Amino acid sequence: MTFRLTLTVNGEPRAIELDDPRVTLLDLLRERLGLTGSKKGCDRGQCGACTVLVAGRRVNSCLALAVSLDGADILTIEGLARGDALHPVQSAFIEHDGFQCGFCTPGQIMSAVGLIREGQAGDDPERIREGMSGNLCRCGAYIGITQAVLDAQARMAGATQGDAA
Amino acid sequence: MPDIAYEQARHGSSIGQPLTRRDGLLKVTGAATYAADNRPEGLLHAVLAVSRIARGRVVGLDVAAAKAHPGVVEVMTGANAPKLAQDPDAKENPFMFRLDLLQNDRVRYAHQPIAVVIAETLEAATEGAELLAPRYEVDPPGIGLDTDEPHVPEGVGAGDKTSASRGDVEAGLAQAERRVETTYETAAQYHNALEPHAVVARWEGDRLIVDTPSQALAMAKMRLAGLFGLDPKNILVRSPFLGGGFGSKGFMSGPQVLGVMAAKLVGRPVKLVLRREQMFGPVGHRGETRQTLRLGSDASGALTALDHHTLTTTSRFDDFYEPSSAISRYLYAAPAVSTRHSGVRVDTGTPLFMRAPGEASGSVALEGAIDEMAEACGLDPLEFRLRNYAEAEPISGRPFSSKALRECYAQGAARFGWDKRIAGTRSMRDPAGRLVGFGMGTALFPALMMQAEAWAEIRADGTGTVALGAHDMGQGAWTALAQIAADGLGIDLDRLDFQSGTSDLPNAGIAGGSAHTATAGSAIHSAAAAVLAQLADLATRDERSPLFGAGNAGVYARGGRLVRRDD
Amino acid sequence: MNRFDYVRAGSVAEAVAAAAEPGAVYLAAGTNLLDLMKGSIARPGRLVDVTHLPGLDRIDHLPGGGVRIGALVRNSDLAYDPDFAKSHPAVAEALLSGASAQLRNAATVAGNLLQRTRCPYFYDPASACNKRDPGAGCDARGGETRLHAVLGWSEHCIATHPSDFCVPLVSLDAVVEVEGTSGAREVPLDALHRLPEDRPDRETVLEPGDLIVALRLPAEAAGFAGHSRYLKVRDRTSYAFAVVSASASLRLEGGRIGEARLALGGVALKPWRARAAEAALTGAEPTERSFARAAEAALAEARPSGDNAFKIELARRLIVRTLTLAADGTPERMPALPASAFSGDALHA
Repeated sequence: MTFRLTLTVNGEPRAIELDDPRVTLLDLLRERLGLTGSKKGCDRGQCGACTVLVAGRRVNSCLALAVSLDGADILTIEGLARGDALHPVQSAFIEHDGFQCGFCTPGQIMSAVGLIREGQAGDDPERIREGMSGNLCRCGAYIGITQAVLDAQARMAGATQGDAA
Repeated sequence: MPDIAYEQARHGSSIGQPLTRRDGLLKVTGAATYAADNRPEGLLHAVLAVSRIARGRVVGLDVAAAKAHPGVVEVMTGANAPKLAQDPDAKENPFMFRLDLLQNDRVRYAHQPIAVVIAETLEAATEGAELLAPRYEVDPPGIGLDTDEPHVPEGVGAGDKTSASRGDVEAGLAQAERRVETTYETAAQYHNALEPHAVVARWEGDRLIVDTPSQALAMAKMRLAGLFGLDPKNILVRSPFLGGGFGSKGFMSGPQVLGVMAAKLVGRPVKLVLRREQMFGPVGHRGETRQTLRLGSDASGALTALDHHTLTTTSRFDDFYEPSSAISRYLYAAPAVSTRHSGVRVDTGTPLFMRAPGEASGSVALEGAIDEMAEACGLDPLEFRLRNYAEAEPISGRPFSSKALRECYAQGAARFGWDKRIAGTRSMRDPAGRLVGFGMGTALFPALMMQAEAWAEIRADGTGTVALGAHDMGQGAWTALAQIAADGLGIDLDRLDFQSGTSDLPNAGIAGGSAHTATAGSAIHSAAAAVLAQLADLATRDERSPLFGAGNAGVYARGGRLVRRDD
Repeated sequence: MNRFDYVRAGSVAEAVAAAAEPGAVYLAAGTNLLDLMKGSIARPGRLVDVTHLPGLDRIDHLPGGGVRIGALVRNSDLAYDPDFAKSHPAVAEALLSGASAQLRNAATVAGNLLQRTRCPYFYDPASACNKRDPGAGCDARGGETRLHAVLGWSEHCIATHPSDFCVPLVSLDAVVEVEGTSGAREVPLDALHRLPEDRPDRETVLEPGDLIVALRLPAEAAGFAGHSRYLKVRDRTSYAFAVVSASASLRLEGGRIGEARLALGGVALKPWRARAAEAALTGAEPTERSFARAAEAALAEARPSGDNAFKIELARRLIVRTLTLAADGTPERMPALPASAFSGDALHA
């Protein structure tokens, strides 16, 4: 059976034909759409390396079936920067060295973008850490990650114009 | 060694200057390519079937059921696996794993690869592996430190001595005013880098191109050359980015080789990525230990004897022993010191070096035992350590080239307010009434230097290239080595083309032992100095040059130029 | 993952009909189902996707009190709904203490109620498990039993229910609204999950095709809002299942406990309502002595199912701590570490 889906991926509508309902959103992105920025660390929703935004919310793409997302709006790490201009979260991760090997980084960044949008953590580092607890970093860059999220959030709150993400 | 001297100008110099990672942009945009991100034309997906028993034999695989699944192209088993040029258990040197590559039906540990399913899609390959429904002849497995009679290994760690001692420990203990005998056990630990081991393998006739994470490109290439009977020149291993290693990507693993075999079998490029649960077994771990320490001290709290014995596990078929006792060779002065290891064979995968092999597991036990002895002596733990401070290496007697541990202790004590520590358990509470305490530990790690080569070029337009097969697993090689290269060539970083991460570049050794920056950096420095010496030689012999006659030591490199020293 | 039929239901009736067939299951967010399928624990032949059913994602405050939560409301949406969090703080706190932000954003209310045990032997296809395969045996018995039951277990199964959300819900008399092949009915949440007895494969009272469409809390539940806490003890600070958890809600009248609601998590194959403890607390003063007596009553029938006797003492202490904090009063703001028994917020005022 062929499933015909329309997904908006990084702002572009994509018509997708799938002959296998087992394909997860993560594997759709990586293996069929050539968007390999989202990573597979565990495939079971435990590490967060696969985090993307679906309808503006951060979710584990490894635990979402592509067929059930017909019509959805998806934002991945590849869609975050605007041309040459990095998203404030991306810049902050560089400035605060919020990574080492970089494998968890796309998921961390997308999770941070989602967390900032949720608007629940404020500028409390403990709430930020708790809010980011679904993203593992085996290199242990948590301090830089927390600082990057705090810094990016502050900059975005101070930004004069529109929706930065 | 070229004797060009160049001024280490602070302005514009790279080494020691803070710098955001040069690969940062790639990593935060998702553009850094890890092995599994590669998708050559015609790629097939391979998924491992792994054993669910720890010991025995595979007696049946439902290959027909797997092949009947739509999209499955082939199932690789012992029946059709490509023949290898070498026995995977043949070990030419200690720096390789004995591998299970479908050469027989034997199972030696849980999660050992027992078949490979190759399919057009990942979903088909994954389900195909499930449909194989392996049947086993099960032997009772032995795991745990008490499985078997221990033996004395020939060596421990990465070429360390099984035992080293001085003096008479039994006499020292007999004479002691106080004795402590204590046992610490550390659990097995699995590296579990966030990037699972993965390989994308492509054959082009006799040439093999492999994208796989590696902490040791040259060794990986040689391992593949041996197993497949290839000229190493025909093998290219690419590992520009690793999603973490921690030691587990230092040796080529069975799953990685199986991906290469699968590509050979089907005549198309193959991608094989380990599932997370498959990371427990075939790719190494830190073996568990049981460490028994016996300490004796005199009335003043000076150690009379220190005996550190480690019992650790290895696999039934290969050798790697966690060298936990070794740390007692370095830290504390005692007239009698004995450090020993025993091994026990169990039905698990083979251990491997993991994040301070020996130092991490051994210091837990040693520092714990020292604390216990301090308490037995009625001494503050810091005071006890100072009284037993080693001024020279305890067993060999060699002087340290430098040692600032006393200063570390003093600064640490000041910063943590150690003088406020009240001795005795349950003696301190915070303002909220919760029990708190002060403790301390001493860490030690050798500053190793290994072998590496580098290639350097400088061009008339003031740009330069440095190239070597170095490895960045997150520790920052792309950045730190480039800083060294830029300074080595006397150019700014943005005029430097720094190439790394593939096996066709000069052999930069292994990213291991925390030695990579020093080792590869030294090779880079030498190569850069050599190329500048060549340039200086050309210039100072050329009558048309303003540097003519300055002499080899009379010029230095800075900002992309050679400058007369006396200018 | 096995191949399956994927059916997207356009209406509840369509969903029920499609899911009533043998081998069919419902797919909501799939955060538990897909995990089970990837592990080959669940191999359903048909997935009936209910995520596009209209009207099941609302939170309605009912005339006369009470709240009705649609089955498809996302966990995070419910927890962060300001009105709901204010009127049912222990439920919000329990939701936020579970899983990770990503999982809470995707997972639905009904999915949370129906999530299955995380017993590692259930999850290991090489282990014998009566829940997966009735009659096969239980390899958890005599194995690693740290996370296993101390109440309501049987020789056939010693697993626990992993949900945090369910614990305060059962204490507040939540009711589940179901649509099935024979029409609509209601099931008290406390009656939804079965104890293992000799058929641990029968996990709920739901029949094939039964679809949870809503969860309802009665008007009385909001009466405890001023003194209501959920606490969870676990091996990590965040993103881990409970070793033991407790939900305590009190209505204080003139310095005494007018009514108490107490439930435990991590101790049994269903969220455990502690009615004997509640009775012991009625009319008592909110003191440590009363709380200790209540804890005794709650755990009178507790028995270790393995190497887990410590859970009984842990539960005893946690009950006292949770009742104490409930008596102190619900915090104005959700703590930075929801349900943490160890953070500064968890110290007695």
